Amino acid sequence: MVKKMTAMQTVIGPTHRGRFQAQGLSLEESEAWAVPIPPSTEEGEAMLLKLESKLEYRDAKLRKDAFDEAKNFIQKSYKAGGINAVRKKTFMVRSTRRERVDVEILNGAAFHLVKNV
Amino acid sequence: MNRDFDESIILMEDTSAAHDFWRKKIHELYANREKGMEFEKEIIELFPPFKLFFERNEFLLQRKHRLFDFQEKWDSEDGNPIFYGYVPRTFRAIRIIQAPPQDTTNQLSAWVEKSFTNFSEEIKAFDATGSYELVIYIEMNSLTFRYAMILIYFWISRRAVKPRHEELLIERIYNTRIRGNDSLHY
Repeated sequence: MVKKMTAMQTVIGPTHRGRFQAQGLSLEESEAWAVPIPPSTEEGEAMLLKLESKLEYRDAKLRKDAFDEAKNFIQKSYKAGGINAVRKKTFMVRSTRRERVDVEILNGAAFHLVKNV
Repeated sequence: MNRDFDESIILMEDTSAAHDFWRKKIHELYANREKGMEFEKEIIELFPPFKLFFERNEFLLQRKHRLFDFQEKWDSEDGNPIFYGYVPRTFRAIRIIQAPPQDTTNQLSAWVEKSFTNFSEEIKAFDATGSYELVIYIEMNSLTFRYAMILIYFWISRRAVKPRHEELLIERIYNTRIRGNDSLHY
């Protein structure tokens, strides 16, 4: 019985997982998703915005271009039909040792639609 | 012209050629002991305590050892990443992000992080769970390429090289060989 319930939970549980991260020498912030329906481009951009708003002004300003690139990646992915595979993209802040914004698709799909109804 | 690569690799005119270039250069490190010894000499100059470390831990790779090239995980569109591979002998992953140079500054960033996937679909015969990867961002010129290769060499050469050792070398290389007047304080 226990086994049966676990299997059932697996079927109905979130199958689309991923996260946006802002990382660096002294920074590690993230905004994750684990949902039954793939996140839309609108939801992706909203999560990016939420992540940016979590950062201190200095860290957000430093990563402005990296956040723009991450946003462009969402749009490009949508135009290409969405993402259906495990993937990681890193958008660097040039002239730094490790300041960046990461996008990770860890399971399932993402950015197939502009808006989920 | 640099004898290791031509302008088309720098400008990424053909990302497939750039991808193959990285795989070839990394695999060459397995057997080219002359190059390896040259790199170890420079690593010791950068961080003298590594001399004893090299004496106590021998180089583990040979030409016959494998280098996995994750064909599904590199991006031919933008080179982010241009190469994503795994060295089973030393249990190490490498992710390289390459971009065409935007100016004449030296752009080489690097860090070590836990791999975001266990590569189970790509390498069924090996358990890569919990492995770490060296991540490199590079805009190619002869200097950034040389230090990227030194970082890769050190990372894959011995299982005894821990993420903290690699981070020490990254910090030393970045601060003494890469950082310029244009660099930010990060």
